[in-house]
Amino acid sequence: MLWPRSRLWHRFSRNPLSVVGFAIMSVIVLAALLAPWVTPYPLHAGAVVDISNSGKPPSLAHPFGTDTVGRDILTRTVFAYRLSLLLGIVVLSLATPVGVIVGLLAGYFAGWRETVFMRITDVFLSIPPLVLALAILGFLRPNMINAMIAVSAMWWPWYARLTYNVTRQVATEGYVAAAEVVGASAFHILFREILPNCAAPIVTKMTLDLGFVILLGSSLSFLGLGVQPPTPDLGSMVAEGARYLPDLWWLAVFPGLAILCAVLGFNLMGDGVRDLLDVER
Amino acid sequence: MAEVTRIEAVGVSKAYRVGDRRVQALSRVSLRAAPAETLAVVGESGSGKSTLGRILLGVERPDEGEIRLDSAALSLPLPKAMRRRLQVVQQNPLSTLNPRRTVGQSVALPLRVHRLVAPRQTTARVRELLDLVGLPTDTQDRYPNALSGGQRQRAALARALAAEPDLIVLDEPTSALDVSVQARVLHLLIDLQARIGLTYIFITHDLSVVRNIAARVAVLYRGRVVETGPTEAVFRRPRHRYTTMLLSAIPVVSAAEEAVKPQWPQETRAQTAEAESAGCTFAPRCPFALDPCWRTPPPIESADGRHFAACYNPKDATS
Amino acid sequence: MNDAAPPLLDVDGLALSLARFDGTARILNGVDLVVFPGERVALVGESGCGKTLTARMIMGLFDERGASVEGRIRFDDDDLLALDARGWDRLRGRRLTMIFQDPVAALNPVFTIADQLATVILRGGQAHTRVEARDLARPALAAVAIADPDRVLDSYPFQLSGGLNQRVLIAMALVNRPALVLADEPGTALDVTVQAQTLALMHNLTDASGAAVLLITHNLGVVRNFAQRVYVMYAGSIVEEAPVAELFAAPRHPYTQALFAAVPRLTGEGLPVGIEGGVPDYRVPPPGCRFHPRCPHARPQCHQPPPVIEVAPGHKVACVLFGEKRDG
Repeated sequence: MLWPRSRLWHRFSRNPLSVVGFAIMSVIVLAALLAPWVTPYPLHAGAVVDISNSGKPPSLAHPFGTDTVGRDILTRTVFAYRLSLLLGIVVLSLATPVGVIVGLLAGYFAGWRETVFMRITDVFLSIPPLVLALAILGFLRPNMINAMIAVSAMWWPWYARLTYNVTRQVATEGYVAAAEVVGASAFHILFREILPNCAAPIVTKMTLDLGFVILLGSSLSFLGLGVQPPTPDLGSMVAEGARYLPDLWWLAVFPGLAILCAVLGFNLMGDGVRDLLDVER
Repeated sequence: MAEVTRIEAVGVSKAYRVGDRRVQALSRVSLRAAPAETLAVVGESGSGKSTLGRILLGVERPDEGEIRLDSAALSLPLPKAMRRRLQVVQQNPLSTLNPRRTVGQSVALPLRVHRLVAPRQTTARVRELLDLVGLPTDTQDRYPNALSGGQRQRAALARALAAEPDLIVLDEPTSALDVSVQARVLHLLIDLQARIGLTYIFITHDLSVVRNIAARVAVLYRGRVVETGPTEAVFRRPRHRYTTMLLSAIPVVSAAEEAVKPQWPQETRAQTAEAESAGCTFAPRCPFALDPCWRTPPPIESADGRHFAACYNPKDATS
Repeated sequence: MNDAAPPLLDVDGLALSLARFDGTARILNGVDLVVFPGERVALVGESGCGKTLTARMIMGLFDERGASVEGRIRFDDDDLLALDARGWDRLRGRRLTMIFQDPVAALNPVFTIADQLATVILRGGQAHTRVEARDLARPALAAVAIADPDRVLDSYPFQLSGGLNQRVLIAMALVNRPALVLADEPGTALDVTVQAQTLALMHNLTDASGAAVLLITHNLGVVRNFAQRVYVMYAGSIVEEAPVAELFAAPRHPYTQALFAAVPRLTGEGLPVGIEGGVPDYRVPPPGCRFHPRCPHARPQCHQPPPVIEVAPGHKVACVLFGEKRDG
């Protein structure tokens, strides 16, 4: 664990920016988990209307201001993180295993498997992600679950590419040759010898990607294809707030900053995770 | 021949495609090793010695020729029972053990794959093997990064021994180690050979080590065996000109060793491109090359049936 | 060699400690070493003994957070440990050059040999245009016995063999007529036949140009062929220094003796004897002589820093064994 003064913490904290990222990420995750208890107006996460308070600028009572129907933007931002994080976790837990297995098989076995798997991957990679997601959502109803499916479908090829490249390199290591000479099964070689040595870049990429998946989910919501009202979502909050710029600037700026913080936090932390997972020879 | 042969390469050839070029890694290589014998395969980079090692291990298929283990030709892919009998210790101590697996897990792999002991006995057997190679038994719970280079090579040896092989291909097993550590690993290898009766194919470029560890030696140059014979004879009376050159280049630490090194004309000029020879592959570098050397590959011949060389103008002929 | 002349390089009591989260490692533990003008000196030791680190500190290539340095490195009239960027610019690549171990890694794969050699020549100030530089590059390559310099000049490093690349590096290190060349295991990555040629070349060329060489190596055979004087290093300290002939005839320090005993001999006397134990943990090194835990002659006095005794002219040993003889 990341105890202060431990070896792992020492490696993680060599770069002070990783610590900043770790702090941002901790605050976001904790706030999202404890949203009903830490937000000032938990009810405002739903379809509440309080016309008397509508469009109020930031104040002590409403640090991020209120929206056009009088809901507290701070509360809605924190609740929106819950969905964003959920999206990130679900997408990565769908996309990563698929990409990793494809990459492992293509990287270890030369010949037709390599060709087939990597060409399919390349096809997916050649389509701009947002276009692909939009195309998928064109067939499916726009809602949270379908957004997750759409984002996952365009996310796995990146993991296939990454795993493929790392596998190709790890496969030349002496211990892989030794396992082959011993007569170990392909399953053992792929999942016990090679995969653990690909884990560092994969986990690092996952940390970095959490921020980007949140960003993409927000983009879809911004376009009205993700989470549907009244559930709070950072993307749709920015989209709606944008219509009131520049007068009610806080409507768009605070959810926008929230997206920025998440992306930044996960990216900074990703660097630390990479330092942490570096294999010492 | 009446002698018993454990492993034998018969007319092995192998070529690779590198881009558009065809590189002949091995040309009709034949050699053999008796049970409990150490055969050194000596050569510089590009000699094909590592390719030969992989073919002897049965992980690579020769284009021509075959490998025989106890007179039976290997058919690839090897059946599991045959796979177990041929093991390897590799050169690079940094990469030979999986950094994400404990030493115990690595050493136990052959035991599990070939079900050599009951699962409950695995730990005990791993301890035994670690003890055999001179590692403390608590090494089994450690990761390779906690081990020195010499310890890692010992652990790699323990893994090879776990399979209870008949033959181990030692591919430059001590080249990356300091001499003080190398000496101890070499002693261990010899000690184990005496106790278990292992056959070693010792692939190396280090002739000083070969002199002290191998009974017989085969010298490879550009994919061909140019000289082979008992180590003593090859070192004292090298016949092929390439062997002579190789021996003369060894840096030694005493005048006594300097005295046993053959002489070689000092040549420091380097060409970017070497002339091609249709005959002996060493002809372009050989100041003693005769006309036929450039035309037809010299046959490998022997006067005494033990010491063979493939040279039209061997050392004894002129000096 | 003229001992009356001041040394070209004078490393005096060089020590280096690295602070890490789990303790402070004293990696160099007082290195004393001199190189006189035109002299070929070897620094020999096993991996991790600090020989490469010493070379990097002399070249000013060591720069790590948490390092504390003691001692002094003088080169000519410069204090290298206090040298600023402008000072290094004046020395490095001109008066002081280095040949690295791996020729492939030391050359830039995307530039031709001509480009890289010209850059070095222009730095040296012998030429002012690339055309002039090329005219100087040709004889420089011919000097390292390259038969067709023009062809090599127009090649990229990957088009040449390891041996040719190594020669190019030697040409680069010598073309600006340096006073001192540091050579870190030159040719170790190459075949023995090529390595032998490389060392012979370096020997002849530095003899001709009067450059001094500090050769960093682990190979005693290479030392014997190449150097005039040798320093033996163990665990961050110099344990013995001597003229080469003297050291090879009669090594005195128990570590040097053990090192010689570990070398396999071409005369075939059977397998050599290794050294038991391993290099000490630099965070908690043994007190006094760092070799004593592995030393067959260890005694209680070894827990004190060993005295440096001159056992013969120019032959110094850092070992208590020789102190006793003098006393008694």
